[in-house]
Amino acid sequence: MKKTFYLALLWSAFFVGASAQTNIRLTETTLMHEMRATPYPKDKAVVDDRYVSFQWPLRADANINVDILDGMDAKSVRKVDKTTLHYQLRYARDKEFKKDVKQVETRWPFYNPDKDLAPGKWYWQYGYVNEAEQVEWQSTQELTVGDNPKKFCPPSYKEAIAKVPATHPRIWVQKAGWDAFIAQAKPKAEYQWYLERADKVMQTPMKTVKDINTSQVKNLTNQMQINSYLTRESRRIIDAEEGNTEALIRAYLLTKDRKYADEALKRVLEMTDWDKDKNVKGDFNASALLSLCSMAYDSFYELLTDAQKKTLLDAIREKGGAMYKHFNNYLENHIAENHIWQMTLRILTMAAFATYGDLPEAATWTDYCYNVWRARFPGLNKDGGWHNGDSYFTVNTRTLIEVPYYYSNLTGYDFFSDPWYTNNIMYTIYQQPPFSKSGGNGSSHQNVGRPNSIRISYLDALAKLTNNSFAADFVRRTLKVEPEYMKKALLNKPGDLAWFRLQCDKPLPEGPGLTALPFGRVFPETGLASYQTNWDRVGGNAMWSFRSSPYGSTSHALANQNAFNTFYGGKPIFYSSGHHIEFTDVHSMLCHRATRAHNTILVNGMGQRIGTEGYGWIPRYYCSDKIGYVLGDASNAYGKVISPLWLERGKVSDVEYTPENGWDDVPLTKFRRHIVNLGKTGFIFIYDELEASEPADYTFMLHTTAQPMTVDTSNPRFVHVQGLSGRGGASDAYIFSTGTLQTDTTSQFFVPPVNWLRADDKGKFKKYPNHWHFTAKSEKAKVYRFATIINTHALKYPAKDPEILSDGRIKAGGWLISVNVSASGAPSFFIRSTKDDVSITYKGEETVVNENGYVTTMRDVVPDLEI
Amino acid sequence: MRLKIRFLHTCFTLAVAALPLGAMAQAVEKPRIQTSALPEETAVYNPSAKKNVAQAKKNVAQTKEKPAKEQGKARASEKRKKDKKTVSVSDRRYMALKTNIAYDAIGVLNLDYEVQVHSRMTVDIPVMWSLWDAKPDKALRVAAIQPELRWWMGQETGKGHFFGLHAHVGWYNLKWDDRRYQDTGRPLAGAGLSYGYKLPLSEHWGAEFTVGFGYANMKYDTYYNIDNGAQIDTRIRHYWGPTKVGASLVYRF
Repeated sequence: MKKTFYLALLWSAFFVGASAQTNIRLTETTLMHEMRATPYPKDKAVVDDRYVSFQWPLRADANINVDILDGMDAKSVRKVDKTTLHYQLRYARDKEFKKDVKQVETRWPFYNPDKDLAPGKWYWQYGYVNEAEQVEWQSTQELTVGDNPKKFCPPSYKEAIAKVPATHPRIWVQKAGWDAFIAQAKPKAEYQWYLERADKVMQTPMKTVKDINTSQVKNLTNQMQINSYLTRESRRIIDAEEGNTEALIRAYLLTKDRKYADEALKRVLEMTDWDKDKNVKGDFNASALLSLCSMAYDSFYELLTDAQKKTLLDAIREKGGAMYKHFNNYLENHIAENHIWQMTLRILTMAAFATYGDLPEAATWTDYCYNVWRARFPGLNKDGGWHNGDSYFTVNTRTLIEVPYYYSNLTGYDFFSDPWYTNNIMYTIYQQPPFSKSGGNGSSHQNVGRPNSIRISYLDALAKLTNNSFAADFVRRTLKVEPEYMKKALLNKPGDLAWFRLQCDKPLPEGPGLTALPFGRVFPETGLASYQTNWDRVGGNAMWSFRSSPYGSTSHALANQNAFNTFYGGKPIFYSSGHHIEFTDVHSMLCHRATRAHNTILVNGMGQRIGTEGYGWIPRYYCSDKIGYVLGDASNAYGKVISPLWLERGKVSDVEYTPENGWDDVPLTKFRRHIVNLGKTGFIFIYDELEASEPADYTFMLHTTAQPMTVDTSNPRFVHVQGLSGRGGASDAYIFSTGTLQTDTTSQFFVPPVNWLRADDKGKFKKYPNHWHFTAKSEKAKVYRFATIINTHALKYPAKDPEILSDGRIKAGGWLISVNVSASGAPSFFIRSTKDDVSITYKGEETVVNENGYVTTMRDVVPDLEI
Repeated sequence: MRLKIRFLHTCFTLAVAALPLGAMAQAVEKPRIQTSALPEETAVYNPSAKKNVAQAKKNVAQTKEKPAKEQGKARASEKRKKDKKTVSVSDRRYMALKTNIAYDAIGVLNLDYEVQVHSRMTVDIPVMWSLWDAKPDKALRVAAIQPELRWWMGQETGKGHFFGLHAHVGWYNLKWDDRRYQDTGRPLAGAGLSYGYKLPLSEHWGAEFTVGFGYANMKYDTYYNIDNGAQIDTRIRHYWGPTKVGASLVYRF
């Protein structure tokens, strides 16, 4: 008897021990950092997919993000001279650094060994060299290098720079292959496109900085508005002239016809000093002029007089020098410097290689640009997702293609073999399927009604460069409807890849198309997910997207942790609301970036922090052909805004982060949102777990942008909300909750959108439309749960309310759902298909999917993050 | 003798019958998955879980709930081509055919079938027989089966260390020098615990080493080891000691 008792005790202890594992509750203030906070590779990391690049944080006194807003004077000033910073790095096989130690000095906070490290264990240490030239060694890091023959290992700078020809042109064409290039380009449509545009420009008088419209400045109320307005109006002139002049330069390179060169040169020399004008604001204007100067220098080299060469080189030295000064000991560690990434790094790279050997400074620039690319570009983490959303993603297009394409041609090494590109194709496809609206993340996504010509050009390029048949199918489907779709991007400043298509003769690859792709994809590091029901026909596709991201809401990312969006037929239904008028405009901050704009939850009426501090993450996910699942955790996202950068931005933009505006500390301890994709039915199940240290109220939100919602509270078991796409699609949401909900709908924004910035060509300021907002507020409670079933479908097939069976289970779309929405008992749900062998069980510590008898057990996993 | 033949027939039938069952289980399509789950917890074949779902599905069907016709119509036109996926051996349900070379070496031929029944468990069914005399005065004629339930310690079932619980049933006729021992019609029976290690040698081939200890109950007659030798006595023995030793060649499907 005694023996039996002890045995029972032993088994009980085992099971209690096994179930005592807790969900991971992160305590970090941020997961990603505005500036690098930890060395890379991280201590005890295993690196087997790419060569090792050592990177480390800046010294504290140099680690200041001084860029408050583009074009505005920095409020914070670094105490150190960045040009004097230098570092020591050492690495060896032994921890004590006694044997075969490699030690180097660097002027940047990273070092790329010329050859990849041999497989096995390594130890490394970086040190800051102080004013007394003493090395302040930091902690020793351990690293294991994997033995993977396919790892990404581009050649060293020494090897690359040795291949730069002494002749010009050498960037957009090579002198040695110029005639062959012309012959290759001539039959292609893009050849004619450039000539058409150049001939038109030849007949168009040039505008000047005197044409910048400053008429509205008197009506603006703060420095941010004046700066943004002038940036926009000066870019309107300079971008147009840049495009015109570039068309002439490219026409010359395609024909060798002197008339294009003469006209282009005349214009470039006229523009070299435009950035000195007081009404010209922002780094894009300066980079446009650097781009034109270096293009003209390289392309017309043999036509230029010595004086003209000197003028251009002086302008390149000045503009490129300012750019490098900005990048130096800053860019290497910045989470994702928007403008540098989008355009200016590419422009400095091309200027540097165009003048290498002719301008002494270019030796430093080429070294920097090439090595900083090798160190950390283009990947923002490995999953291929883009944290800034679909609108601002396309602004990076030329950088993402032209820089590595130039390096590939120069060195003979395929820079597109970086595995990031393959993953990024998946991001590009899944977040915005053919003919569909943007997934709904990142500011300005409202404007992205379908994959634009830049996005299609990008997929076209990557399909050819990486032999990706999914991307090729996407492009074919688009061009079948509109064969000259890519012409829309011609000479688009960040997105024209027509020149790439002239250079690259690879065909679009054949192979499996979009219908062979799985229906869902999760990007766990970027914190994104999306699911479809129909890859083949957008008209019948029910889609949803989700975000819970370690990036938080910095840069262009929104404070929409644990928010979802629904779509039918490529049109949004329950969607992220508000307008991106300007980066820190009051409406844009309070009604577009802020949490109240998204399909997520407010706690005590408060939203998520602005900055990297307002982060979420994805601890679990599962995608298959029968079921999908993603769990987002936004437990740490809520509270007062504490980011120094965003507090400063708020100050200069008259944005107040007050409780009245939706930011305050809240007692929230847990907000986990589970979404289960119920096969290809168009149904999803959403389960929200909310817990707080003291009673709080929770507001469940839905928004539509096309048409008003209808709300039905007649059924005591749930609240029914229907949203419409306005184009034949509907999402019916059935909200179950722990207690009674107070519902409300409005068509008014918290702050009205006022267009003070975006005038059209005729100077008219178009009004922004209102959107619709539904809220369902709970009573105060320490524990609260929502369970929501959403059916996204064609409006012509009306939705049937979920059926509640006598045993409490819910039947919807051929699935049976058991869920605990009461505040008592452990959070749980069990869902299974009535038609297929698939089920999902959630019981706190783990989520288990059983599909065809194959069991997958998910527990929390924190993703690996880059910076 | 008739009983022995029936036993052997049963053993072979079982062994042969088990093969198509395993093959059928293997035919269930493994889902293609992107997941956060650890590799060892991803798509682990668990037929009992499948059975539960099938049973649940059956129960639900009995409720005669009609699916929403409209939804069915709306999606009826959706067609999707599925990729044929490549699945590595280690991803599949573990199933192997083996022979114990240690037994083969002493003339006891054997064939052993092992199949995975749980994420960490397999069932091992060795069948052994020896129907020939090595020498006129030395021979072991035996027909036995020793099924075993195994628990695998590593992350991959069918690789590394395992522990097993086995039972054994056997019929025998042993000639050794001047004595001959034969079961009385009640077969040898017992059970034991074993430990083993499976070493993969290639994608399909491997070696397995095992040793087991336990109990066997034997009731046997002793005869003089000559033709028509007289019976000396009948004894019952409670044996404790090694019950299994193996060095097997393994082919994994």
